[in-house]
Amino acid sequence: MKLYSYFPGCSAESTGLGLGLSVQAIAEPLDMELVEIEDWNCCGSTPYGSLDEEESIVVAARNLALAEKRGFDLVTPCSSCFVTLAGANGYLQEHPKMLAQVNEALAVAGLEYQGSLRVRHLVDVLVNDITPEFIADKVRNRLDGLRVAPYYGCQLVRPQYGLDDTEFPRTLDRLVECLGAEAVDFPLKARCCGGSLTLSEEGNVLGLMYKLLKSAAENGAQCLVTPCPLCQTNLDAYQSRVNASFKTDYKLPVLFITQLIGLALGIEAESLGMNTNIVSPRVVLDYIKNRVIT
Amino acid sequence: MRGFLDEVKVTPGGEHILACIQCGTCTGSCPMAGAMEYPPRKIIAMIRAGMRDEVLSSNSMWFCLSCYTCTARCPRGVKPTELAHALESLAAQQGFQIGGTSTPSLYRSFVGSIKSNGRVHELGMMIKYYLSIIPELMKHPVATIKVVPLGIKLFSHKRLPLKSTKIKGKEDLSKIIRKFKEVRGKHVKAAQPDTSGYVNRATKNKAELKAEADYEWAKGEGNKILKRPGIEEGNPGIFG
Ligand code: SF4
Ligand code: SF4
Repeated sequence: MKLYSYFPGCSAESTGLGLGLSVQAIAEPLDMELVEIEDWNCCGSTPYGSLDEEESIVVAARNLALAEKRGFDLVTPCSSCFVTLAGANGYLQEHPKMLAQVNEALAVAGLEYQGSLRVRHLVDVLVNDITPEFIADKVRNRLDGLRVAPYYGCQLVRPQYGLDDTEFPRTLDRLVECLGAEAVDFPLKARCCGGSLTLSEEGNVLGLMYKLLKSAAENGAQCLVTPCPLCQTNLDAYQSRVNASFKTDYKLPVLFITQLIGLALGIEAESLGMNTNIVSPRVVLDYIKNRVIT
Repeated sequence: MRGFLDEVKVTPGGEHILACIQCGTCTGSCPMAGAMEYPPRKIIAMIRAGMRDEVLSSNSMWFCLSCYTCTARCPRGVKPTELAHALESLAAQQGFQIGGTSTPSLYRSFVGSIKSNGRVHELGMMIKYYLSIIPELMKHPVATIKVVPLGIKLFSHKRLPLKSTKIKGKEDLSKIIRKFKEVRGKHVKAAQPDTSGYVNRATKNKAELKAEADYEWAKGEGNKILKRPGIEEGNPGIFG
């Protein structure tokens, strides 16, 4: 059993419920023990840093201090939490003066951060600690022939935290392939989906999503997978808006990579939160059912 | 008063601005460049020209998606994404009114939710956000009405729970934030760029040292040579 401190992120309880559920469901079969940080607070995400860059570091630091007590790597499945927490962590490790100021503030709650933590994305853990070979061993429903577009989004590979190439990453492809599925060519796999600006600038960002869906469809994908709750919500919930704006008829299910892994491991769709997907994931579920029967 | 450039330099994210060589890679890579009043490369030039009001009242940084493409591609390690965040926080803290985008309202609703619960309650945050931009919404009633089915879809798929989660340490978090404001207040007066990091990581490489030297030169000699009129103190004339 590999031990980690776990930071689910706020969306794992709401818009990204499918992510939260599927991570919990695959942890045990994959020999990971994810212990949730007690009473964690929101990482602050992009908005906090945008309104007050320095204060956002303190908000993130409370979580780092809480996690450091346990001493294991801090793992989050949310790409935005990852960038925020890893960014704040890096900044504090590199700026001792700021760390001292932050600690002065944390002290009022009896906390201290020494700067020893490693913040990691779940995909990093799956690829580098658990390994695709190990996952392949555990697969019960091989997804042979299923054509999947691996969508990384921005935050998993940028800014550079050394996980993968920033423009043409491969980590997610490897996870898809170890399940037996085919990772289709997807040149836009690390382009931006619009992030949280879909709420404030929908007109300006629908086009970005359109290009992504178009590229995935043209390359023959039957579905997309992503680790990011924001990307998933955008491409899933706004797909009908894209269709309306660009006169298209995409019905591409957008799964969390952890949902796809869970299905291949033989975990029931319901426990993976598949019923929270808006574009029906039926194509994928039927595919598995038919393969199991035949 | 400190010059605008110095102010940007001491804000986390603004440290590397002097290393920019105005190559334009950032703007060329930016998916939102077309929507911004001033795309990333230009904003950097404007900051170095001391154009505080124009920069801080523009919509540019609020259009940034934080996609980090520019940061990954910049040949000089400038990190324009972080710079955009730094500019947003300067604009927000100095009370600049930004027209033509409701992103600041969105961010405020988001942070408000964190401050009152310790976590973001997405449904509450969205409602607060839409209420805060009613005048804006009235201008586009059709587009606004179309948002409703989307919310309902998320809701019916259990993705927008009614109940918010409040953390136990909510008070702690507020205390920490309050204390930090106080601590920072003490340090702000004597603010110098926090260069402790450069020493640690040895990122202040030759290129950056050269850029700083160039900057000092440009401020003094450079301006004299170019005889540019009306350039204020602290303005790196030839870079602007
Ligand atoms: S920030 Fe970087 S990419 Fe942009 S113009 Fe300057 S040097 Fe070039
Ligand atoms: S991070 Fe912002 S400024 Fe940079 S390329 Fe993306 S949207 Fe443009």
